[in-house]
Amino acid sequence: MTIWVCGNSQSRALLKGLGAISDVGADVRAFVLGNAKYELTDFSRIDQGTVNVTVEEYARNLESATGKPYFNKEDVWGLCQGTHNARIFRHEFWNNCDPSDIADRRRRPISLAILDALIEADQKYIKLFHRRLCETGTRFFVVSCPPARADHPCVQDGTRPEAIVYIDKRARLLMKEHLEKLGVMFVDYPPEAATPEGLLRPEYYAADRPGVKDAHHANPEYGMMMMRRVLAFLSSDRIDPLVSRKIGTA
Amino acid sequence: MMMDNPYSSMPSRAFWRSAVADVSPLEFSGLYEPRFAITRNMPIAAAGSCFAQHIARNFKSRGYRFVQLEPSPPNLSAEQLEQFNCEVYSARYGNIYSIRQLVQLFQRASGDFESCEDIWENDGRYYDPFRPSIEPNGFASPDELRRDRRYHLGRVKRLLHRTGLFVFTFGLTEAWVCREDGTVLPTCPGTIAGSFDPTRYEFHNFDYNEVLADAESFIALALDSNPGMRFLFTVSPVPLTATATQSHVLQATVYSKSVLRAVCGALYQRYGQVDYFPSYELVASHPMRAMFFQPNLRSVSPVGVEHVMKVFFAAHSSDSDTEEVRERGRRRRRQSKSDPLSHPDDVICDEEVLESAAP
Repeated sequence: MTIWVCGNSQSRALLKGLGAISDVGADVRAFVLGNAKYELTDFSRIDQGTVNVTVEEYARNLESATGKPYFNKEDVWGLCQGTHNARIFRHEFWNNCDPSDIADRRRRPISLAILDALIEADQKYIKLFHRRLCETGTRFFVVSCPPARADHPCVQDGTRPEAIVYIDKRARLLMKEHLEKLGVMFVDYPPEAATPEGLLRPEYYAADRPGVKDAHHANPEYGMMMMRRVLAFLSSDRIDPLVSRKIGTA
Repeated sequence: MMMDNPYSSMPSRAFWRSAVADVSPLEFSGLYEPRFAITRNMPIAAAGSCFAQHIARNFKSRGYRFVQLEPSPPNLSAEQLEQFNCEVYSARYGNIYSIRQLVQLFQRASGDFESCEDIWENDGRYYDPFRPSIEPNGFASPDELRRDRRYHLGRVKRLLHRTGLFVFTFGLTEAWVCREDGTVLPTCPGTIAGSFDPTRYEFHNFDYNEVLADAESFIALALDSNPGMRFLFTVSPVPLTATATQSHVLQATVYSKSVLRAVCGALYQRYGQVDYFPSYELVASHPMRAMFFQPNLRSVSPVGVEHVMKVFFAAHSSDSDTEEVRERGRRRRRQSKSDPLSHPDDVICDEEVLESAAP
């Protein structure tokens, strides 16, 4: 049995981080499933009792890494998806709006119900993927994406950092509630990686590429911290009895 | 031999036989001849009863410059947008069934009227009495509601300044009013939200003189904001769901629609800036044989809506620009809903994905 940690591009830092850890112990491997943009589509499906993916990029990477074109039920999956919330707060809509609870008087307040609807629109296919995994008896847990970054270009365009934090926290809460209902464990980001406000500390920012600003990824140092948490989770007795029993690593 | 008389020179549309009896109801000609052109660069705002939603939607989809002061949040489905009353009208005021409610809306926005009605609470959720279904499950707190209302009224205050054509669909004469200060509510307290207290609220059925006076008040305040403003009035063909009068609902409907239709006629005669579009006649008049109603004889079928819109826009477009107009509409919709699958961040993400595959 292999424990696969995979997901959107945020899992690249996890891949690098895992590579830097010498004492992994169990058979834990990581790969990048593909671009998070496909999470806004119905990217999974059940076929002959297993979950596979409908997006070519995901299918290619899944098979290339695991040798199988589906989420093998013999293995355990750590999915780094569902908390990449830049997709929600980076929209220009937030340049002039705030979540109502923290709304500046000069900006448009957005009710919690509307914010929740926006978050649900972002998360719905990931949640559907989770439900399909549960339905087929595929064992998995969810690995947090890094917290939001204060240097996202949307801040220069007018989005308030307070709004970013609020949206990120609310979206995480809703995802955690969903996972709790399914009985699926969530491995949160290391608290030391975040500022007191809840943003990723600058020392964990991924490096920019030549001519291209990277404003939402974390670096391999963060990835190493996060993977240490994942490994600790896998060996702890806090994990869900169902998962722990089947993983057999608790 | 017939002698000359005023009817001799009248066009065929003036005669029942040639205009109605001898032609298919789908082919009435000259039923709507616009008093003024509605151009695609004219800023258009809309309000009114539920039928006004169709008009607003069609202006947008056909590429007209529809004023939108509370734009919709991104990535919500059409169903969700409708639930939250986003982009249904020019601001999130919901349905406005009576013209006095419209006048009071602008008076509240400008600070000229402070209503005694504030917030309705039901089961720990909070509702705006002036737009009780604007959030399908109410607001989370009184503060959240007040913040939204303050912003909303601020946008409404700007609306008339930014509008060149105001479209209003008259819906009802029956309304529920606060006894204390005459605040007109869009719904009866206790139906969608709130609770009914007969010592606090009373029923009022507006008569012709009241509706006309309110319409003239609205025209005056709109012209005060924008002297070049034009108005397009229509009457909703949708009958009353229920009447609070002692009359039969059919009789109450005919009264209500007759008053509203007569007011539109008077406004058309009195104001050169006013045009009337006969959506009521196109759906609800007897030559239409109720063919555009659903089996409940109340809801207008999609085919009926399409027919009404076709008549309206055919009168305002030439054949040659129809495709251009549609393309403009499509372009605007594409621009307004930036593709969530295409964002600069995703270039970075693609890079990350590609790099992860590197040995």
